[in-house]
Amino acid sequence: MTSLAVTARAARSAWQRMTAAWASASAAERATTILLGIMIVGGVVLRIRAIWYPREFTFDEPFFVPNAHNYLLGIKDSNDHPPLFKMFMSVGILLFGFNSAGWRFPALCFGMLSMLLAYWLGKAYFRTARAGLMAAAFIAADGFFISYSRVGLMDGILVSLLLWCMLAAVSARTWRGVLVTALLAGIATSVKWSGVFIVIPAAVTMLLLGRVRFWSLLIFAVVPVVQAAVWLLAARLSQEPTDLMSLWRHVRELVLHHVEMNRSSNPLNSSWYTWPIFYRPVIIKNTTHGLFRFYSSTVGNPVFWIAVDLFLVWSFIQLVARATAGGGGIRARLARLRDFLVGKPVGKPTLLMLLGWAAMLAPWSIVRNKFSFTHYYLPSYGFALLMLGGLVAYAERKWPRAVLVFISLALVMAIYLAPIWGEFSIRERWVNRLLLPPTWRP
Amino acid sequence: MAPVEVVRYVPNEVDVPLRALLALFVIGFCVWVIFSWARYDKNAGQTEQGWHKGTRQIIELTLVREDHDRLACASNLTVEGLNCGYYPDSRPRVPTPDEAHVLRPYCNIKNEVLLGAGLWDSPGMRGALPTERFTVVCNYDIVGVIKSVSTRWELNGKFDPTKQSLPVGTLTDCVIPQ
Repeated sequence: MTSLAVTARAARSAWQRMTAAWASASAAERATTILLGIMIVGGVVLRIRAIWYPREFTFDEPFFVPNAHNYLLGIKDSNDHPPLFKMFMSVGILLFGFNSAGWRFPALCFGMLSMLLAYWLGKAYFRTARAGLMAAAFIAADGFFISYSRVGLMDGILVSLLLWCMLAAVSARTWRGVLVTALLAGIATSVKWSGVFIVIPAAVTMLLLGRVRFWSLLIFAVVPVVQAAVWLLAARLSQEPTDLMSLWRHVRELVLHHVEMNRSSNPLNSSWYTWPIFYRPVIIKNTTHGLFRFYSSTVGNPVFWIAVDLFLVWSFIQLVARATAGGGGIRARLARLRDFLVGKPVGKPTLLMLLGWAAMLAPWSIVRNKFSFTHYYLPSYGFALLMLGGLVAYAERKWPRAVLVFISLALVMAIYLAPIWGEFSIRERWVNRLLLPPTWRP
Repeated sequence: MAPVEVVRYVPNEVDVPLRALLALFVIGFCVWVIFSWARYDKNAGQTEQGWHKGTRQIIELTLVREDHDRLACASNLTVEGLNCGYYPDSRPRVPTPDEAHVLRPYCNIKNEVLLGAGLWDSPGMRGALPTERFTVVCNYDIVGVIKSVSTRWELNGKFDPTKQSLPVGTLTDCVIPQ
């Protein structure tokens, strides 16, 4: 049988499985499915609609867009981040011209890819398509991801590449799979250096699943090689020296510059421990036309992040309670901890997502903890929503009606906040009604 | 219901990440189609299509009659005899420019902001104006562009510096379409 015929049969089989699952689902589960579908379609529309407004640079775009343009002109890139994001952006400018559609095109494409990757990842880690569907819908209906799909900035693209890398990690069976994972980690690191921390959850995923040999993890040594190759390609495009010594000096200067930045201050600074509660989200697109305002705020969907935070607090309390409860020696305590961590609802997939969450927070909580901003939380938040997708899918088996209420609340909140995520035309007094806490306002 | 025939496509470890690459290209193509359908070339350009110095555009504005007092701009600059009613420090300009030469900010129905003079002096605007919000169509003759300008949209509002260059011109032959 040809591969085309196999694919066609597999597609038909998938459709049959889907219709069978729909037929056997309860009324609450069907209603939840419809709401999840609305979240995904709404998320796509909110990402695309009028993305080219404002037509001028917004937020940090002036640091990146002219440098992306420079690659097309063969001029030096003077930005202090690795070059790959700007090279992606130059592809957009090449396709659509030097305008806001061109420089926001890559962020939009990767932003939509993140939804698909969330589906595949949720399905692969939690072994159920329902977890994938939940994760995709949560990413679709969250303002943090929507706003970063609508702007010429790199963090949304970074998240997409990190999820892609984790997908490769969970699919790896031999050294080839490890190599693909390492290449993707190298590509993510070439967008933003903090991306290198993905190596930790990716490697632990492979070890926990036990499908690849331990020595094959040495392949992650190609990460800096990929980074160097991208830098050299960028240097060639911008007609800069392409020898390794020049590259080393350039990268060293930038590293020192980033270390030095930790002594700087900025009115939008926020500490990493305030990020999970969205104490100070940034409005990354903020324009005025007459009496009307157009905002794109990075505040996440409160139903999602409060649920994640409650789960984290509950898990922490459980761990402390089991470690400190009386009875038994150290072995008994460790056994109780282990039972909690590998049992339901936590289990390996949730632990791996938590590890991804913590790993992507590490650069900002350990390395550069002073000059930091809420949007650095985006990669961690991606893992948090994936974890939430798995947990909600698990809960739905026991309490489908409760999950329906949860999803309904999340959708209502998304509809309520959509105007300040997707740049609707609103008057200032309405903005203040939507952005209730004063720290959310510009 | 007929039993479900289970045929699963089992991708190998390299196929899975490649599938994501294919998805990225498909998404990129779909976005390109949507951008083209939505006329991105007309919407995404930094300057409005055909809005050049020396050109005349027909523009449509929505106003309320109080906008005469509410809308104002502040700048030191004078372009072809047209200037704002206020200095950059928010003091009223002395002597007060006549109505035909005082610039005010307007936002047209496409959400494009412009500076125009002469709207309220136009013959079509001299009669009794509607008490509700109304639409005006004018000829807009662009005489220049200025960047160092602040705008005010409420009577007691503060002047906010604009982030972009604004076209400057005269508004003539304004009529309230019936």
